[in-house]
Amino acid sequence: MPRTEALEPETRPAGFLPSLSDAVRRLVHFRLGLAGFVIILFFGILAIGAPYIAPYGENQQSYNILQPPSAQHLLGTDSIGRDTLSRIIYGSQVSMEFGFGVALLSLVLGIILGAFPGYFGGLIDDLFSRFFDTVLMIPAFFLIILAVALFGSNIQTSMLIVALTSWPSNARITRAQVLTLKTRAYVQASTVTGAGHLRILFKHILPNGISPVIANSALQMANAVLIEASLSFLGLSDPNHVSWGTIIFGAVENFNAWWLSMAGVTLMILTLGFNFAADGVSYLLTPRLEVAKG
Amino acid sequence: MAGEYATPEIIAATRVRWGLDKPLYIQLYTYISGVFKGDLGFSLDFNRPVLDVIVSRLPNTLVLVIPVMIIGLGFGLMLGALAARHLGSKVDSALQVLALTFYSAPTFWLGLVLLEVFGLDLGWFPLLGGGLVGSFQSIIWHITLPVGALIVAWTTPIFMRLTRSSMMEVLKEDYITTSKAIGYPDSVIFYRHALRNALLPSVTMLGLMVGTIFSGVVLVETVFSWPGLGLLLLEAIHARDYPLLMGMFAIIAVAVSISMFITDLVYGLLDPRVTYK
Repeated sequence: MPRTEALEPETRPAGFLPSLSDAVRRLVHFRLGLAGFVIILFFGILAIGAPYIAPYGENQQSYNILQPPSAQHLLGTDSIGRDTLSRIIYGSQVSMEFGFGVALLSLVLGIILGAFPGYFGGLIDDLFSRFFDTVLMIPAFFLIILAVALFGSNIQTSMLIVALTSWPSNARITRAQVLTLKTRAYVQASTVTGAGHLRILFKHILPNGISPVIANSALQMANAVLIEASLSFLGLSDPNHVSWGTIIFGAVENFNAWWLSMAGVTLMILTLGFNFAADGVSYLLTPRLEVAKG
Repeated sequence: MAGEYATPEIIAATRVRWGLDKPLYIQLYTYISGVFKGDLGFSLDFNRPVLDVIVSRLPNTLVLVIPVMIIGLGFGLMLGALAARHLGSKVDSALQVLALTFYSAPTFWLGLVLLEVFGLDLGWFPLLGGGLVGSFQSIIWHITLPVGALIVAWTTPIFMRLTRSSMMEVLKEDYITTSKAIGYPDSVIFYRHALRNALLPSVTMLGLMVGTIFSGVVLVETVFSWPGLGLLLLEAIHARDYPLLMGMFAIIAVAVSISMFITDLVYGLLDPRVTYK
């Protein structure tokens, strides 16, 4: 793969949002990041258009049980005759919803809980920082399994629990960004002109410091998708919706190699897409970053 | 707990036996004061003290996790150093993509694929069972696949990426430039001067991993029916064995705190710039 030229003179300081055309141009140069976005887009279309794309219904059964791949059933069928391809297509809905839902919740929580302590400093900052540290110490996956098992396993509950254990990394990054940006001259200038705290924080500081948080969100999406699959593999998922983890679990019960491999492969590709996209976002939004070359 | 056809007397006796007839705050007080004395309560499912149950399963998990950590750290360092040595080259890109791919693979799924290929199709390794029973060969025979799955999908990619990025940081430092100016050969600078300092983040990661061990181990232990703490957690959930769940949570929290503390101390030893007052 060719080395990406990130060396053109850039006058913008790191962290400023690029214009759209600029972003597209840079993205085309950075192939892995582009691949990540394409993968996410692909699964997004699959999830939204599932009723139109999938050849069979989510839970449509037939007498053709445990079939190998054929023209009617491209990836075969499961133990009660459901088409595996259709189930994988419908499964993308849960994965996408879970990934984006968790990342969004955790983003909002992380920004609010990170920005205010960083901006106001002092005792609030000390208290909140200790609080982040405490939450970071909690063995997250253990807590998630426990909470999902005890409080019920619908998608919303599990999303909330995963978000509640994953926001501290966002909060830490936001806090660090706010700490550096609030000493910049332009922020001080707006303080002098009489802008209020909220205006400075949300209008001047956060838009300029948000890029690492967004990159982190993409990583959290990857993580959330894996957690969801793990939970449903353990039988702790919403029984009303098919998920890739459920398909893999069903494959184990019958030791059917075909769907075993396919649901896992889609899971891996989507996670990989989020990981690539995270690299892509951090490359896009920090113009002078030389780290992520692919 | 008392059975389906329990008479009111039996139900009352059961409530007294587990202390459920007392108000909640008394129950809480009894539990917490017990925890400080090392008494984590009594497991409902196993009918044994919680601590006994956990301690009896702990060696099985440790024997799984320790090789995964050590071998993964070794591979990760080697591959990370290799990538950093050829920064920006094809080798580097290939290693990066490979590491991300394996890291993105769900561990439980990778474990299943290994089982399918090496267990079912080729018949080289057993399909289930494990723990510290039988001869040394038998243990090795049973442990290879779970350890392999965790190394490939979990520790190696993490340590590789960490080593690579910290090598990139270290190679920019002044003392490296100085060594180059003095005229040390490249390999000496790289392995003797840079790599040693680039190890520090991996040490921190090793400490942090204690907390995340569970996420990796629960699933792999389930797939390989390895009787460790991860499987115990699931058994406890299915049996609604709350004392056991709380006990495991307490033990893990303590283990995480201790490992963080030790990591901080070791860090101070390895990096003289870090001092504690």
